[in-house]
Order: sequence, then C-alpha cells, then structure tokens
Amino acid sequence: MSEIPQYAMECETIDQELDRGSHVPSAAAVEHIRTCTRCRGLYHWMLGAPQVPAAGAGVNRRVRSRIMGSLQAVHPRASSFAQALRFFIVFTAAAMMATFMIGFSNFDNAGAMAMGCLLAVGTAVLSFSLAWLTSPASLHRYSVYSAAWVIAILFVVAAACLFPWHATPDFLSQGRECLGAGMMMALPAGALLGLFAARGYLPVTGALGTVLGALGGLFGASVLQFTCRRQEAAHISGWHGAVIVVSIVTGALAARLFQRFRSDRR
Amino acid sequence: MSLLAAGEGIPHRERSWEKDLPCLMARYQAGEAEAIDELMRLLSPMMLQYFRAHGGNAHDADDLFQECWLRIHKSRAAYRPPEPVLPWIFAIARYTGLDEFRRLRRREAREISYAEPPEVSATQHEGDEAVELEQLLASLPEGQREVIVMLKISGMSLEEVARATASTVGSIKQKAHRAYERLRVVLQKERA
Repeated sequence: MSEIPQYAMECETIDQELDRGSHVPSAAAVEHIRTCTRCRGLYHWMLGAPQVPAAGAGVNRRVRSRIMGSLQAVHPRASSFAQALRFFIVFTAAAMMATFMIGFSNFDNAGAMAMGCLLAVGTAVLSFSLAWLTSPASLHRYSVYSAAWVIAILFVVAAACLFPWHATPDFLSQGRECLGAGMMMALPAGALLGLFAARGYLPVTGALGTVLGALGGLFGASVLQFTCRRQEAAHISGWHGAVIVVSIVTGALAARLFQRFRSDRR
Repeated sequence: MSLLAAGEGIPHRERSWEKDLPCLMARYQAGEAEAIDELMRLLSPMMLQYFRAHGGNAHDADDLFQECWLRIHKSRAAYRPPEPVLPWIFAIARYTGLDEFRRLRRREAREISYAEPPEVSATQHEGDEAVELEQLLASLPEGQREVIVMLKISGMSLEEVARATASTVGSIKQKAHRAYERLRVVLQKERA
C-alpha cells in the first residue's frame, strides 16, 4: 500500500473552500487540488453530484393533496429580536406582579438591586436563546447550554461577593423553605413561557428544556431576591442559586420525558 | 443543482434557482398553490437525498419526506422572508429525522428480534455510488455525519448548516474540519 500523504498547510485552503458551500473554486484551490491527491479525492467526493432519488409512487400526490386541503394565507412571524423582547417583557411583568403580590422587602438593598440587574441581563440572554430555538434556522450566537450554566454560576459568584457572610443556625430549614418556594414559582413560569413560545413551531429538545428551565429558575430567583428577608451570601448563593440549577436540570429532564412520551405515542 | 466542470475537471456547484426560493416561500405564505408546486419540485429531491443518506430504507425515507412536508406546511408562518430558505427547510427536516430516529431506537430496544433477514434497502440497489456514500458516511461519528450530509447534499455554507442544526458556526466548523480530515484518510486508503 502506498504511503498516505500528510496534511499540508495548503490543505486548509480546501477546507475553507468546502466551508463556503456552493461557489466557483478559487485559483489557489484549483492549483492545490491538481497537486494534492488527498484533497482531490475529498473535493471531488464532496462536490460530486449525488444520485437524485424519486419518491415512491403516490407520495408526492399525497403530500400535495394534504397541503392543498389546508392551504391558506398566513402572516410571517416577527423577527427574533421582537420575539426575544416579547419574552423579556412577559417575564419581567410576571416577575414584578409576583413580587408585588408577595411583598417587597429589599428594595433599598444595593446588593439586591445589583443582583436584579444581573438577573435582568441573564433573562435577556436566555430570551434570545428561546427566540432562536423557536424560529427554525436562526443563527445561534452562543450555545444555549453554556448560556444557562454561565448565568447560574455568575449568580452564585455574584451573591457570594455582594452580600455579607453571617452564620445562621437555621441555614438548612430556611434554605429548604426558599428552595421550595422558588421551585413552586420556577416550574409554572417555565411551563407558561413554553406555552407562550409554542406558536407554530416548537421543537422539543434538550436545549429547549434547558432554556425554559433556566428562565423558570431565574423567575424564581428574581422573585426571591426581592421578597426573601435573608439577604446573606451563603443563603442566596446556596439556596436561591439552587433554584436556578434544579430548574435547569428539571427542564432538561422534562424535555427528554416529553420526547419519550411522544415517540411512544406515534 | 447542477454540477459544472470548472477549468480542468474541477467540479463546483451552482444553485441559480436558490435566489427564487424566498419569493416562492412568500407566495406560499400568501396561499398560492403554484408556489408550493414549484417549491416541491425544487426541494423534494434534496430532501429525499437527505433522508436516504441517513441509512434508512426507501420506504422509511418516503415516510419521513411526507412527514417533513406536512411539518413545513404547519410551520410556514415561522419563515421570515427574505431569509435563506434551505437552512429553514433543513432545520425542519433535521427535527423530523431526529424524532423518527428516537422512535425507532425505542421501538427496537423493546421489540424482540425474530432473526428475520434484514430488509434490503432500495438505495442498495441503486449502484455503487450510493453504497460508497453510505460506507463513507458510516465512518464518521453522528455529529460529523450530519454536517457532512448537509454540506454535500444541499451545498449550504457552514453558517447555513449552523442555522439548520441550531448550533454555532464554531461548533459546525470544528465538526466539518474533523470530518474532512477523516474522509481524506478513508478516501485515500480506498484509492490506494
């Protein structure tokens, strides 16, 4: 067997040509393809015309008749930015309403206000993720999973830095109380936001579950931030942060369960 | 999609009809029957290639193709002219395929195997090229295979594939470049 040539710097030119999709190859690429057997094989295979299959008898006719049966004019959906703004406004309005109903207790606390700003930024970032996920072929500027976990970690770190550390004897009991209350708000909030987003196209994936879980968690943490009397670093970073983390995990698991349920039913 | 000889036998793809797609989609959203006929004529071969490249038999591919068109129809309001149409179509095709794959995987896990002879796929009879395509794609991990199938069949750019797969350009680029390198080695070995 002849020796297989190694990757040369010029081979990168071919990678870049293939990255661009349909186009006329550059002069440098044509020159390289002539001299490099490895790239020639790859380039010809990638751009070789694939066989064009035909659908089985009657498939096209069946599809067409079903489409024609319900063909009516529809309005295109708003842009991703407009959708993200809508999610953000709905989230903020609902969080403010829940906070007013429970009762403000930390409006004059600088740390709480700083955390409120961080939560607002996190909500905006995740609102864009949700808008991209519910619009087919949107360009994701950042990974949904990374965004959700970075926001959760930032929340914990910011709470640890912004609030004083006090030793409290009832750390566990008070914490469980806040975690329970936070989750009671987070889960319905995530589910309602999902229903609000589900208009026309909603691919239920782990990413969608994660982003809805993260938004639900931020909702719970936001309301707790302005209603909880225990403004202390260990409590907020540990228990309020846990609302976000548990909610993200719950959202991802719920999406998987939904996928399983749907595949069982088909 | 036409394949033209550029210069001395170096192939390249030309999709002159692609620029008409946003206009056709807008007419489809307005309820014009001729627009959906034209869209089906232009896009159906590519969609069938996509479903068959994932290794299913012709019957499964036809089912997925039908299901995909119905999803496209249901989601047509989610298209925003004049955004690129191919990534939009492939995003829906991808979710259709993923849903079916999950369903089959669960069904296979539950069903008792009766040691029946495997069904011979129609694509296996369609010549060496189809077999070679399947064999080469089988040498790639799932994530890389998906990217390569989209790049090869649709001629989309990396950014368009990133849109279709709800991923970032960086992630798709990494997968594509790893797949190119693996394919170079496999193709070279085959020819040697």
